[in-house]
Parts: sequence; C-alpha cells; structure tokens
Amino acid sequence: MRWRIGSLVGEGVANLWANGFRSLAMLGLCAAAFGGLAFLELRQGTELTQFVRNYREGGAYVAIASVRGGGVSGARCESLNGTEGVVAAGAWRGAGQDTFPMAPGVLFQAADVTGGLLRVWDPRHVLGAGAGLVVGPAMAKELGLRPGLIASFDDGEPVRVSAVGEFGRRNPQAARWALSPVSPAGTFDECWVEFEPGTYEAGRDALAARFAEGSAEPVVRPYRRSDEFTRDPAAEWASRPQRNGWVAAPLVLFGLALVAGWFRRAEAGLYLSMGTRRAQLAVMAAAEYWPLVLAGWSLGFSYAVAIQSWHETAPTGDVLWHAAQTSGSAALATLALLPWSAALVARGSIASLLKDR
Amino acid sequence: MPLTLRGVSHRYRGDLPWVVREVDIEIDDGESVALMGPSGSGKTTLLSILGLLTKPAEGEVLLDEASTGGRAASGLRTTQFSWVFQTANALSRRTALDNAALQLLARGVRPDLARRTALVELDRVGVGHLAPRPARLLSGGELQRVCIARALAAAPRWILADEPTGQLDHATTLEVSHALIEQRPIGTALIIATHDPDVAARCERTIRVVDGRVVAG
Repeated sequence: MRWRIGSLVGEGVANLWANGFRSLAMLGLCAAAFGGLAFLELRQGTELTQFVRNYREGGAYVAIASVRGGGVSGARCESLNGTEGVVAAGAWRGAGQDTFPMAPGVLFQAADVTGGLLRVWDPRHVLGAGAGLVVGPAMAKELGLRPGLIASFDDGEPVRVSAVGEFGRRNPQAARWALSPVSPAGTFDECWVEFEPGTYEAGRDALAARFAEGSAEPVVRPYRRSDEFTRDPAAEWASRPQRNGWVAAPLVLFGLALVAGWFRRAEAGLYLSMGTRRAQLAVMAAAEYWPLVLAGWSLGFSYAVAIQSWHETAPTGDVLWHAAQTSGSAALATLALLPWSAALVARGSIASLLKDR
Repeated sequence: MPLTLRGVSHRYRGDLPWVVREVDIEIDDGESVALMGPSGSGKTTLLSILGLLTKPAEGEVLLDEASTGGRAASGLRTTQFSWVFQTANALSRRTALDNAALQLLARGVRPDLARRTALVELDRVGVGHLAPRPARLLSGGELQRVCIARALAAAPRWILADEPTGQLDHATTLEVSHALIEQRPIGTALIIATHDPDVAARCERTIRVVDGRVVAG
C-alpha cells in the first residue's frame, strides 16, 4: 500500500496553497527570472532588427558601377533586375542644369533615370517608371510641386509630375533633382545595384566584369564603406550574453529551491517516517512547483513583452519567437530540475531530518 | 517474537562513541513498553532503530523473524509503524485534519475516506473541533493529540512515541498519555520513550537503558 498519485499531487497542491508567502515568493522569482531573460532577448533582438533595417535602408548592400572615361550600359544595368540576389538595379545620367519658368533663377539638376533606379533610391515607395517627372522632396517643397501637376522646363515641353521621391536615405543630393524616366538604351553615368545581404559581396565583386567592354575600366564602389567599427548584427546576436540564460536561470532557481527545501527538512523527514519514498517527495514537489513555474513564465513573458512594447518598439514575430524559445527552454529545464530539490535535501538519516526545524 | 533487536550497536560516525551497545530486545504484538533512562542514554536512537528510521551500525532488526534491511524498510514504515514525536512534528501550515489524515494517505487510502477516519480519531482524542484549524495555531498539547490521532488513525501494528509528553504540563500529560496508552487499538503495540515514571507505570513493561545498554526489562 502506497501513496496514490492523485493523493501525492493533492498533497503538493495543498502545500502550495497552505504556504502562501513562500509560493508567492517562488512565483515572483520565476516571473523575474523568465521575464528578465525574455526581456533581454526582446530588447537586443528588437534593437538589432531595427539596426539591420536601418542599415539596409541606408544602402548597406548597394554597389555603384561606373566606367572611367565612358559610360555604363543602361540595358546591362537594367537586365540585372530579376536575377537572383538582386533587389533592384538602375542607371542615371546627368542632363545638366535647368530652371522652371515659374521660379526663374532657381537652378536644379536634371537627370535621366531608368525605372530600376527609382526603386534603388527610394525603396519604401514604388515610384512610377512611366512618363512623367519624378522630383526630389526639397525641390517639390520649394516649387510647390506634387503628383499630377504639370511642370514645364524653360526649354522644353510641359510634363506631368508623376511622383515625389524620398531619396534622403540613399541619395540625399537628389532631393533637388528632377528625374526623367527614360529607356535604358544608351550609356549612363552610373549603375546602382542593391543586392540581398547574403549575395552582396559576391555580387559586388562580379559587377565590374559585367560592364567591362573593350578598353573601358569599370569601377565598382560600395555606397557605404564598412570598416572595423561597422557593427556585425549576426555576430552580436550569436554572442549575446543571455543566450545561455536557459541554463543559468534554472540553476539559480534550483539553488533557491534547495535553500527553501533546507528549511523544510523536518517536513520531508515526517513524510519519510511514514514510508514515503524520495521519488514520491519529488512528485509532491512537482505538483507544488510546476504551477508556479508555468504561471511565473506566463507572467514574466507577458510583462517583458508589455514593457518592451510600451517603452521601446513592439517586437517583431521573429524576435518574439526567439524570446519565447529562450525563456520557454529555461522554464522547461526548471520544471525538470525543481522537483529533485525536495529529494536532494531529504537525503541522510530520517531521524536527523526530523530534528531539523 | 514479532519485533526483535539482535546484537544491535550504533554510533553516528566512526569517530564518535557508541550510543547503543549490544542491545537485544524482543517486543510482542499488542504490548505496551516504556523505554526509560536518563537523557543521553540512547533511548531516542534505540527507538528510531526499532522504528526503522535509523539503520544500526551493527546487529539486525527482525520483524516476524525476517530481516528489515534494504528497500523493505520504507514499505514497512508505511504499513507497520506510526510515530509520535517529542516535538510534535507536523505540517505547521496545514490543518489539524490534513495532518491527522497524512499516514492514511501514505498508505494509499482514498483521500475522502482518510479524512473521515482522521476526523473520527481527532474526536476520539478530544480535538475534533480543531480539525479545520492550522497546526501552527494549536497549543503544544492540542498538537500532540493531533499527532496521536494521526498515529491511531492508521491502526498500525506498532506505535513508537518519543517522549510525547516531554514538553507538556501535568494535566495535559495525563490526557495525552491516556489517549496514547489506553485508547490505542487492540493489538497495536506501543513503545514509548519517557522520563515520566507515571507514564511508564501505565505500560505493561519497562526497559531501562543506561549508556546505550539495556540494564533491566
């Protein structure tokens, strides 16, 4: 005749409710440990995600090809669109300075661009590549231009303004440019190519060969140069200090459970004096600790997400999943470890345990 | 004899003196036996060896002529023995009823039946009205009676009591010893370590222990 499993579980749950302060303290410790771990993951993950997004939007994976003493082929440049690893590619050539009759004396730069270039310079908006003028934001503001209006050059036919580009991140000087989309036939001053992060270096290195023709010497330069101070988000994420938190947090909680158990040795001795086995004490402890661990994880994780979203930026799905994985692994390891604290402190002579109080 | 100590000696560590030396004791079913002796004479150690809480360094404990060593001890503690300790060991934050039902639960009795039986025993020892009260709010005498109810509820073959009245006043001592000695189930043997000659006088046999040796009984 032995403890029924239901009775062991009931005993653990009864001990959980009977020791309100101890249970609340353990719940708080679990919430703090798992929530803290989740918060560190969320904070660093969100920060890196934003950095990567800004880094990319700032042209980190853009390369520019030009040919000394000549031009690059617009057709070859545009033909890069649709190839694997290329986000967008396009070329431009300067068309000199000009003025508008409505603002005499105000000089602006005119340029011919291929459709792909508008996607490279303003990745947030899909600018129309058809007929019509695309103007930079500073110029649009100064001259009161907006999409749909008709503008005319001093020496040309009136044209419709098709869009106002946001070129601040990729080519700030184009803020005062008027861009005319043209066919890619012919040569252009530069070809701008944005690569996917994984193909950037190989793509950049192969770009020169694409424009090599006769004695022309193509030059390829990165839009943003990197140096030893340039951050490496992947390396930062891989070496984040909290990545081993799923081991550390359970060990700390296990240590605290051992301390708590140390003060309950007389209780353990009483159960053992009735023939309870140490493994059964572990089952009892599991019934006592598991609800606290699960509730602690739920509280801690929710709190961490709320704090992160409230004070900083709401985390993306990927970052949430990482935080849930790390803190959830810690909770699972804690679930496995904690019950054995009761069995561990109940080692030794039962008579000695009974005397401890 | 049902419960036998044969050539039992014990010390807690190899470099410490013997606290029990070459003891041979036989105790029969249903018998009430008082273990008497001065403080430090080895009564508590002897009792914990008899109740299989401590494994003797030398000699053996036999139950119905069978060895009690190894993994059998845990099972025997559940089915054969109940304890009443000097300091009224109880789960202090649990109710008197929870404490009284504990040994029945350890024996695999259904929780509802264990509670009903425990309540009957609490009534029998006069503390039934305290059943829902947490153990930490009970007086020493009340708590000791709860522990006696816990021991009696399981109707064990052996009840071992380690100076159960040692911290109680005279009137409470009488109540507690009455509950333990006279109210125990028929057929249940009682082995009680005590300093109190009045308690010992109410037992059928007295074993005197001096310096870890049995000198009489």
